[in-house]
Amino acid sequence: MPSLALLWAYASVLLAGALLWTGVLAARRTLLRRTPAAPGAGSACDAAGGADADAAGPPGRAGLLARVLLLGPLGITLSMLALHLAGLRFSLAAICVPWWLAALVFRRELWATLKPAAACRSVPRRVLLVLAGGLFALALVVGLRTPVYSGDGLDNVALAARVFETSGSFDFELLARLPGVGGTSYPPLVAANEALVFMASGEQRARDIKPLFALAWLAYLLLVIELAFRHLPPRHAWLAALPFLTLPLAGSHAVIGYTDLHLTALLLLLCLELRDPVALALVAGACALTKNEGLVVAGASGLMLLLPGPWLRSGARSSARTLAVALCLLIPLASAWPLLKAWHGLHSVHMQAGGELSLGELLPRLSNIARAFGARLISSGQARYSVHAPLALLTAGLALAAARARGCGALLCWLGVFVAHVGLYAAVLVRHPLGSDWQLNVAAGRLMLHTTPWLLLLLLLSLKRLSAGRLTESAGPVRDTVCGSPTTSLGRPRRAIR
Amino acid sequence: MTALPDAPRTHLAARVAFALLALAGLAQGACFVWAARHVNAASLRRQGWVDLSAAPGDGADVYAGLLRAFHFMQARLPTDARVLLITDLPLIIPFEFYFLPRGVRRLHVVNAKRLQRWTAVVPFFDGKAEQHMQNLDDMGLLFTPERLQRHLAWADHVVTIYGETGLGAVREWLELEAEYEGARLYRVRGEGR
Repeated sequence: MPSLALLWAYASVLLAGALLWTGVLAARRTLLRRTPAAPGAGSACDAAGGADADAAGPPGRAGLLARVLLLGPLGITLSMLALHLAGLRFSLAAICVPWWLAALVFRRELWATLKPAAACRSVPRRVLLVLAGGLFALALVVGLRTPVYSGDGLDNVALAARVFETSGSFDFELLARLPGVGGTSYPPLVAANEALVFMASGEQRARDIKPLFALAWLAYLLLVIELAFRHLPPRHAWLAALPFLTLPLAGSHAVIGYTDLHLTALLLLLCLELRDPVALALVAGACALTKNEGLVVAGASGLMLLLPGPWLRSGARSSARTLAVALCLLIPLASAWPLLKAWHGLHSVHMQAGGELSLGELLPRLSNIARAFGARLISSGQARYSVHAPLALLTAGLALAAARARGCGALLCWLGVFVAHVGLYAAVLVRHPLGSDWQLNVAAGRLMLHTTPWLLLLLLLSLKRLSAGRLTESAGPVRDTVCGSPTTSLGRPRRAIR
Repeated sequence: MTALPDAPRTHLAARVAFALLALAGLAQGACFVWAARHVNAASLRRQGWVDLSAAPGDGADVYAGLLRAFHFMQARLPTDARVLLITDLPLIIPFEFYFLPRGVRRLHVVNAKRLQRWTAVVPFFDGKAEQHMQNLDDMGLLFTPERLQRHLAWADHVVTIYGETGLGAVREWLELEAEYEGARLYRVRGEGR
């Protein structure tokens, strides 16, 4: 049986997430001046569940839970960063009590947040939610029977968490002195939350952190469902979502204790919150604190905020004040980890240059990278029985068919994001000091997991175009999303249907 | 009379895709449940004790064995203990996870021949035995009699994992406190300091 302290720690994570999301909604109410959505846009499920036309609206109950689950760990990390900067020692009370006090102060706002908007009540969606619950339970049971005992889950995350717990601070100096581990290379979000669990746990600490990963998977599952039902009618949405829900590449990460699932789920949330600069900044900041790859996401999000085109075109017209608030949120969050590293004189082995490469060395390396990514798409130690590769091929075929049939504005945008993401990883791997073979062997599957949100979006947009039917074709352009803004099939801003 | 507009019609490619997606999702789901059962069985096997003194056959089993051994050891060590770990394992396992907040130092009793045995378990060692030993040496982790003397002067407990090849003459300074299969916990006698 879990101890009361452990339950309190997990409850505090959820409470921190709920409070952060309450803050996002408050900022949205205060800062965003929304124009009414065009009549006829979106289905009934869209309007209720947070569709393109109402992307800035509150999510349904499942969507709210997913946001709480993902923002909670960020809240705990921010608490610990604040304690560290104030020179105070980490303890359960010092980390958790402020969140409970804040909940007391903002109880009305919190209660309003916890009353979600009416969600789409279609049978397929309910079935998928039940399936998500079942998969979460499966991951939880399997995870609790397999304590973290090896691999990156122990070397790079749990060990750092143990140092944070026993030192009572982000003791990077001690961590750097420990031999042969990569704890100092990784941003502290997951490790900080594990440290919180360790403080509440006893000798079973290697097991008690497992719910953190099962909960991240639950968030992933709920966000996949939300994204699918936002873009497609229920009779089609469940079919598109199903392979992504049962993706073993994601499911295995719910058990083994790596940080990649957190980043993937955050990227899914980013896709859903693109039209709200404040939410975008918060989620991008969480990405930067989760993995080094998240720093690139934060940088890209910052560029999007500085280039406000998508928001100016969107129904939710953002003011300069909103963008300023978002940037003020994003910059400290995204720079926290690089500043901490610089302050403590830490370095990351993954960011060191791998020396000069001749063309003769470069080509075999690139070939190895392509082969390893291809192999990991089909099967790997962590992702057996995956249909990731057929899914990617199917998506590519559908995108081609959709582009031929109805134009390719948004498709090109998301295809560009997917290609840029994979290209960035290939570039890093080519320069990796440990040699791309070693890194590919251990990381290719994980890196592919990060690109899953773009694959899902490409699939959904392609299916949306192809299943739009003759009626939409004759009545007007397909309502589509380029970075959250409604556009025509040619990528131009959409005019309201008269 | 105005003709009613046609009902929405799904593109043929989309229909085929939906059928394939349903098939893929269901097939993958079935495999997933099977895999989860498989993982579960494997995890239970891995948590069982393995004979650390035997030749390494499965790297994961060694890790799982260590997990149980360290749980056993840490319960018998005071929190202010200073522990020297001596191991024949060439892998740099984060032993500190189990022993913190106690002070931990370690020495790896490794030679090229032993590393060659590990190539079957950890392909990384294939052709890199010398380099790995050099890395251990650079980090001050490779066993030498001088390092053993220096660390013994600091430590009040010694934990040996996976054989005790390097102990040699200093064994007489150590008093056995507990044993868990292949792992042993010693207290360092006063004269060993």
